[in-house]
Amino acid sequence: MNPVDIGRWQAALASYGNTFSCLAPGSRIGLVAEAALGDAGRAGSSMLIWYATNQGLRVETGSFPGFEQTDVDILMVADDPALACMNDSLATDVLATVRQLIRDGQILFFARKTRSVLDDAGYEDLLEQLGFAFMGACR
Amino acid sequence: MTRPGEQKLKHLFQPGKIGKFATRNKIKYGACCVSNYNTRDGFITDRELARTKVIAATGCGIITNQGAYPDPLGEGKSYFRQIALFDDKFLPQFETIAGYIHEAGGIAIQQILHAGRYGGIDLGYCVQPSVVPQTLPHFRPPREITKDQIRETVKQHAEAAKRAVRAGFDGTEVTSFMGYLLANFNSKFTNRRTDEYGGSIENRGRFMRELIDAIKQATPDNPLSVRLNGAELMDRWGGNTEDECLELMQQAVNCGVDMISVTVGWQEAPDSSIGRDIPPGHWNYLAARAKKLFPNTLIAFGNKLPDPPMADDCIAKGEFDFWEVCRPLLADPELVHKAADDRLHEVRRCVGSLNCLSRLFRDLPYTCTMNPALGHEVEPEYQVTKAAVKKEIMVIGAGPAGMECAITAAKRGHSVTVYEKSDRIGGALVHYANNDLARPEDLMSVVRHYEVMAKKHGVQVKLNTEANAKFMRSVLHKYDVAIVASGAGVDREALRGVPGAERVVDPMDVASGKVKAGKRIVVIGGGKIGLTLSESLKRQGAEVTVVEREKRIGGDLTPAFKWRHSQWIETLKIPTYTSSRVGEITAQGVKVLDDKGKETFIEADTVIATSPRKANQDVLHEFEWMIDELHVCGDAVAPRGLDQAIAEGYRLGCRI
Repeated sequence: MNPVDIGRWQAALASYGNTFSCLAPGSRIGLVAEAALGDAGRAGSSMLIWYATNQGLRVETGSFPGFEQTDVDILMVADDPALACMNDSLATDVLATVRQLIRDGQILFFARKTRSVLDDAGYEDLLEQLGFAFMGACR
Repeated sequence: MTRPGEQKLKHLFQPGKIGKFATRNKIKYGACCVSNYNTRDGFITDRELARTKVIAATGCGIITNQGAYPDPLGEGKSYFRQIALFDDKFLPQFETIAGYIHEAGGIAIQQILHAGRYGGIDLGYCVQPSVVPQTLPHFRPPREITKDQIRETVKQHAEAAKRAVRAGFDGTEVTSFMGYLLANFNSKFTNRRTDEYGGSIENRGRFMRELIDAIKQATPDNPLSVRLNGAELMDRWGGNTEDECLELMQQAVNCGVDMISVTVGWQEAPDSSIGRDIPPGHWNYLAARAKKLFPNTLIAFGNKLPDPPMADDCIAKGEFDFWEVCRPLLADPELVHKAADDRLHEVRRCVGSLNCLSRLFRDLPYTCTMNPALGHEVEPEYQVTKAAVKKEIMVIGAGPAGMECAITAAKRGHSVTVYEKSDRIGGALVHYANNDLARPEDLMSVVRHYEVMAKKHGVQVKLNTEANAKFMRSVLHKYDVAIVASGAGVDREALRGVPGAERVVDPMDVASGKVKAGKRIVVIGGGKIGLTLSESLKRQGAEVTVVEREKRIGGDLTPAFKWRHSQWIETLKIPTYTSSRVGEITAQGVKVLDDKGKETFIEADTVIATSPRKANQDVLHEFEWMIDELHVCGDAVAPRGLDQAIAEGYRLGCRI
């Protein structure tokens, strides 16, 4: 993943206070570039992390340790055009852009915990906002 | 003697062959759905046996029994009440099922289903070739399957196959449908291994080849069918392309598999494969491609191919050998017999509501919108039996609940008259169907079915006749029973507190064309009626806004249609105000208040209230002292929808 402007991401996500306020402290959502997924999630790629704390949502970067080792609850994988698209919408409505990109298949959305565990951790509204209804089963 | 429909559909009804077994026709009952009727530890129940007896009698040349998981740990188990075949202790019920199928003249195939990525439902984890996390959080976190486990899994499949044959089954089937273990190995999406089971397509297909070899060795005299994706619909996420799917089929053919059942999609595929928005025949090309490449291997196919004439035509053109059908037979187990008797107009069609799948993913037994007896075959209360006493029955309302009840009661020997205030049968469903964005003809098939069956069973339908108290007094001496199936409507009482509420329009008046809506419309209520109407009006060129009290729209929709409506609402750019209520309605528009008190004014020339709704029960109270037996069913009990209307109408018809 190319270097990201943490400050802009922080400001963008702060505008969705209600959506993230339900998240249990310690909840983590990761965003990596598609290229990081070669060979089952190659370790060492950069990952943007949305991290719920008692003080609110904090955006930070870290290393993507691969599918097996990563401890984020939700992992989003975006191709380069999708990353560019998100970057462009940081000043407007980035979650709406993410939702559209998920629906278009440009962001692949992995849940590393079961639905009930995610709901208990306060993810219900966020999943809805990200377009969970569009994903799989009963098709 | 050849039945009349068999002559018309002669390709479908010609005898076939699989392995050494002759089949009476070219129809295969597909194991496309796990019933969830069984015990939590994998034993087949009486409920399942009763259901299987119905399946055996469908008239299909080949009957595939639903998938059984082959491992004692349950890593292959995908559904809470899925059947198991990892031990001889399960065999007695399998023997019974094989017996049912043979008694009915079918060839019995047992499917072995290791769900892989979708398995381990009781375990808290699943196994798959590589650790690729779930895209659907319904399923369990993955663990990578080791080489020792692969060998053990192959062995378990072979032992399960042997067991099935010992139980009397003629052959077996392994399945990749829809994203199960076999598919996980075949697909680039889930197979990222670097050993001999991953990487190249040759390596990815190794597990499948070992599986086929092991089962063929274990059961050399019995045919083996393999269900393989013609399209995964996962290719944009790095899964296999259609060409790669064909290459994998080639590997299966080279291993000497007797039949390839071509399927479409994974559970988590981002695109629709079998819903009402996919036109019949859409995927036939996948089977045709396979048949062209593998002319000497049997090809079975049936995804979104509901009609016998279309299947007959495909077989005639050499696009596949066996029509594989499941969901249409859930809706109407008599489908094949009706086709053979040239009574296709009597078929109760699958309407693609996907109630069956939606329930499975809520860990519930599957049911069918169109077949209220499905899953209840073991219960006498759901059997259509001759009535002990013939009664004169009046049914008020010719919607699905009323018609279902009327026809069921008539089948039992009662004399039934339906009174309907409008000029046709179908009730609200007609208008709902005409505004449906998916396939209106599917829902209209319900209405046509009732028209045909009412005529067949001698139900009298009196249209343009409103059953009020005065009318009732004039006819009550004629009837023993009255059924109130008068549906539901807008609850105007509940809107009385809203200034200007008298301006709201009834959605059915708009849907039916009785009232012409303007160009700027506010729809109160974001449930299925509100969304369907909004989508339709928007497509007709109006500016539409939806106001919904709840946090989200589509609260009364099944999961299968929630995402569709969400997508349509977004695609059509229909603004939605959720957690909001209407504060005032004026000639200029609507004042909307959200849950924080924020006020928004939406200009509108028409305001349609689809919510709240209430049951139309006025006549119920008026009739209470007028007739011996009085019943109520469908939305007239409480506003819900088609599933409950049909189910309640049927149950009441069986009971009277």
